Amino acid sequence: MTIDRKTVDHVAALARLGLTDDEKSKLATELSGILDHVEMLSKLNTDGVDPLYHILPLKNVFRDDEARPSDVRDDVLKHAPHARPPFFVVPNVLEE
Amino acid sequence: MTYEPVIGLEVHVQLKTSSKLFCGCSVQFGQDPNRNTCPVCMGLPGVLPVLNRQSVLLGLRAAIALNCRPAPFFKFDRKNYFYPDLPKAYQISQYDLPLALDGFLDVSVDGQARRVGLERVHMEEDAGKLVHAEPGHGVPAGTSFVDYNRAGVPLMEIVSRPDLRSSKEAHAYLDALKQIMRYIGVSDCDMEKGSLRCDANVSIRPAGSSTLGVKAELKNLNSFKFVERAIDGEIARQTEILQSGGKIVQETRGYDSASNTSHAQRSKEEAHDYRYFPEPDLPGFSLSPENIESVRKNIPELPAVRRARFLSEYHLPDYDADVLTAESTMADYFESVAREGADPKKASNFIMAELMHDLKSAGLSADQSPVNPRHLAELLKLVADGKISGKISKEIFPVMFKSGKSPAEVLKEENMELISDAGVIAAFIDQAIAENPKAVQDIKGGKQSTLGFLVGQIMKKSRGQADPALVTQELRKKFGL
Repeated sequence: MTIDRKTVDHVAALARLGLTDDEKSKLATELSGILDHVEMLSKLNTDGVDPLYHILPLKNVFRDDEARPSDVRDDVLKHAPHARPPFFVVPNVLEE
Repeated sequence: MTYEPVIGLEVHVQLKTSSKLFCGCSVQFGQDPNRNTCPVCMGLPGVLPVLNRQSVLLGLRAAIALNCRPAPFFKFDRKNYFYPDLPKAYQISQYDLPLALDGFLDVSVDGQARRVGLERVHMEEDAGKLVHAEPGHGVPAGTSFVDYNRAGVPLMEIVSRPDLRSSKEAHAYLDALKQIMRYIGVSDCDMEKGSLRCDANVSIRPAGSSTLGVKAELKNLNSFKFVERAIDGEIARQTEILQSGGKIVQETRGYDSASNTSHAQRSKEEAHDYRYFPEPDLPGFSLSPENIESVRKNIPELPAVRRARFLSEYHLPDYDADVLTAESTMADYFESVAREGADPKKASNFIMAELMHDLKSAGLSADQSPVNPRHLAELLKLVADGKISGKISKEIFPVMFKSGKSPAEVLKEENMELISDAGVIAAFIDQAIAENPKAVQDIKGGKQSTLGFLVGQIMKKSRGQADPALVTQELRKKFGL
């Protein structure tokens, strides 16, 4: 499977990544290679194999419904790129 | 050409837990911004979400009450999109293996029963809240403030099939859904506090056609009334486009209640490219038939069943049964009064006329009523036994409501016990006769119906405290009737 430049543009836009043209070309090649590698799996016969949803043999891991204050707010705000405590501040995201 | 509207609703209700879906932060409403946050719900590196057991039990309870098929195995997935209300840049939701599938909800529209199909019920975490720059708001232009208190709050999404055919049906569906969720204690469904939200998918098609038209998704519907108005507006908008030869574009539209119009939200199409994939931080979950059965067993009587029982067991009129079973707390209250031996219809009348009014003014629900059901039953018994008049019962009820005291205590304190002393009543009778010569003449002339007028005058003089039966009896004696 090949990842073309258009796909790279699309995925980069979704992830809000600003990539240079060189980086995009390089990523298109690398991502195609990764997908080709994984593509080998589709050659295997998986009839009778249950789908795997999780890599660990774990199921039903729960916690009890108890509220516990964490009290990390002020520390996290201190490390935020922009904050006006008690709020985080981000560029305006109102859609045009 | 006539068109038929096709409507489906996506309803989010907040599950009534103490803590968030994947972390121990409180879900308490109205907290200081960002107070209810921790490294997990703020998406800091190295944290591990762990599923809240109670949210699964509540979700399962809802799914069963909505006649859905609980999944023997369910899992969570990441829904990826980039927006500042989402600290991790993905929402933990459920994609291909949700909590439950295929249910239905019976609703009543203008007295007609309608069955609305449900596609699925799944769990997901809520996003944070953005505060946009507004004049005088303190948010500098060009920026938005973010509060993550709601990020990670447990939500359940209930997706209906496109079975609704009018805005009225949509409203009835929401009413029924909210009633059930509150009955079974799954959610408060308070739109003002964000514990119920609704999006509507609306399309139209030529009447009789069985294919679906292109739909618009309506958002920002802040009350059931607005859901109804926004749907009506959308049906009108689409009809106009089709009739003038235009084409409907699939889009998300934001409703503005102030102008009662909607506007296309110009999110780029790629924003809908969510690239779901299984959440690697959470293992899968399986429910045994025993798990499901134990949840099913603990579901209380649902509104429709309870309403039917009120009709058959207490012989109440439809209207009374509707009003009394609207909320489970009120239905419980009524049944407690009836169990204490009160006549059901009399209890129903008194509850609807007096108790509900006072509870509403005080902003209380029936389970918080200062008048306990036993005291109300005692009050009704005093009337039934002729110990006090109906009028007195209504007069002392507000005092009982205020003080929480029994009717006997209040009667004693207010000196309002029934007058059944023949001597006192005779004095009232003499007074009334002296003051109403015309009525007396009429009665003597054979017009017995005027007797009731005199009884009324006497009751008034006694401030409703005279025993009406005794007054009538004595009055008849006086006129030799």
